[in-house]
This record gives sequence, structure tokens and C-alpha cells, in this order.
Amino acid sequence: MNYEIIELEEYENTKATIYSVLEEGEELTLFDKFIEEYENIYPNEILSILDLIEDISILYGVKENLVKINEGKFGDGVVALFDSPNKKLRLYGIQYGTTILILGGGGTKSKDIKAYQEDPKLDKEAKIMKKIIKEVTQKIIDKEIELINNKFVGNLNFNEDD
Amino acid sequence: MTEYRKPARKMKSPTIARILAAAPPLERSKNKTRIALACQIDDLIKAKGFSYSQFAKIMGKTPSVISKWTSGMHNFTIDTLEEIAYHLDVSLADLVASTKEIQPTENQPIEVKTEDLQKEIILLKERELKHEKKVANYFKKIAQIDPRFAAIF
Repeated sequence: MNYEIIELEEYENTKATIYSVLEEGEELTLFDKFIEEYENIYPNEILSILDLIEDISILYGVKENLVKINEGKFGDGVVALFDSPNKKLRLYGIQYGTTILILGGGGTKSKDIKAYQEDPKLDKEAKIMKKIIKEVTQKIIDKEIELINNKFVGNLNFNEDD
Repeated sequence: MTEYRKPARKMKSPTIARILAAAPPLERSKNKTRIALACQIDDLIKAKGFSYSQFAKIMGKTPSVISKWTSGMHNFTIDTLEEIAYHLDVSLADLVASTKEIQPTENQPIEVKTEDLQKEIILLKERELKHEKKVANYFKKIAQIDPRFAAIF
């Protein structure tokens, strides 16, 4: 999967910088695809997620009470965001401290399942974020990506061939 | 290498602005109040020096209920808010009023350096390692109690 980390313009100049993932050849980020997929079926739920992201971005940063941590492997930084008040949707993201949030995709979470691994769509979306966090983290360690004024700076393009 | 020292490309979402512009203001206000109240309660719990487990005991609830309250997803009743305010030693009026006072802060980013981030990654990896060791020890104990599991663990 070749992709680029993109800053979402709607959320700039704030307590946390919000990014998403643009796959090669696509016009929509993973986050936009998630919104488009569910906005007609769950309009209020999507709105509550957008309000939450706006507040994280402007007011609170990625406070750990507002996201579910350890959604992937323990301590891997994959987080889940829920809609309110009924938690019908799961949106997966990656958190770096309280100032960086990379949004991916997600899906609906049935009350019949406990873990995302039990749902093929959620499992796929969470796995994508687990792969991305590994690759971003490696670039941070290699100093290909740095964090300046709460924003990523550096090589934010990821190619399978690299 | 220097050619890469650029910030991320910015992109306008075709959906976010459209949805927010069409959203009923009251619905948005409800969402924002829930989030503000959640953060206010979380801040007060921490300011009082309680962990979620300690506060849950005081409230006669489980820690997962406290997590739900502070997640921004809970629709509180007045009685629950009154109880929370009582145990956090604030008035209900103060607890709720403070959610309306929160305003966006000026654009003063908190400086976080790459080195700090790298330290955080190392810390997370150490925690993960500790966690894995704990799990391994736990399994060992099970195997000691019941030899049938020895072959598995």
C-alpha cells in the first residue's frame, strides 16, 4: 500500500494537528471515505464524531479520556473514537502524544461482538492503522519525520518499495 | 534529505465542511456540552488526586462507568451529575457552568520536540515489553497450578 499522510485543512492551527491517510491514486482520505460511507445511515453519529475531532483539535488535544487507547496491540498507539451517545461506530486513528492524531477508517460495531477482530471490516481498518503506525514510528526513529510545533515535518510519503 | 523537510501536504475535505454547515446547531451544542462536561469531570477527578478506580469506589460504580462518563458519550441525568459534583466537592452549578466557559485557546502550540516523541516511543515499547513479561509470568503461574497447561505455555 503506497500512501501519504495528509494534514486536514479544516483543523489547522489548534491544540492537536489532525491528519489522515491518502492512498495512491485515491481522491479521498481514509477518513473522508469513512464519513461518506456512514453519513446517510448514521448522520447524528457522524456529526458527533466530527464535533469530537473539532474539540480535540481546538480545545483539548488528544486527551486520553476522549479516545479509547490500546485498541490495537498494547501500547501501540492505535486509538478508537466513538460516536455519542450510542457508540454505533468505531473510527480508528493513531495518536502521538496529545498533539497529533492521524485518522483512518472504521465501521459499525455490533453489540454482538466484543473485539474488533470479530468483525472483518473493523479488523481490516484497525490492521491498516497498525501497519501505518509501525511505518510512521520507524520514520520518526530514523529521523525522516520530525515533529516541529506539533506538526509532522519530513518525508510523509510511504511506498512499499522503500 | 533536505528536500523532504517539508510539512505535510494540506487537503480540504469535501465532506467535513458540508456536514458541519448543514448540521442543526442544537445537536452540535449537545455534542459539545457532553464533551466539555466529560473533560471537566476528568480534570476534576485528576485534580483531586483520584484514579478512576478510586473514584469509582467512592461513587459505588465500576471504573468502566467512570470511563464512559469521561468519554464525552454519556447523556447524564441531573441526579448523576449531582452525585459527581458532591463527591468532587463542587456545586452542580459550577460543574455545569464551567463547560460553557471553555473557549478555543489562542494559536499557541505547545512545543513538542522530536526527541520527546522518540523518548515517548521508547517508553511505550518498554511498557509493552513489561506487559508481555507480565502476561508470560501469568501463564507460567497457570501452568504451575495446572500441569495440563504446561505444554501450551
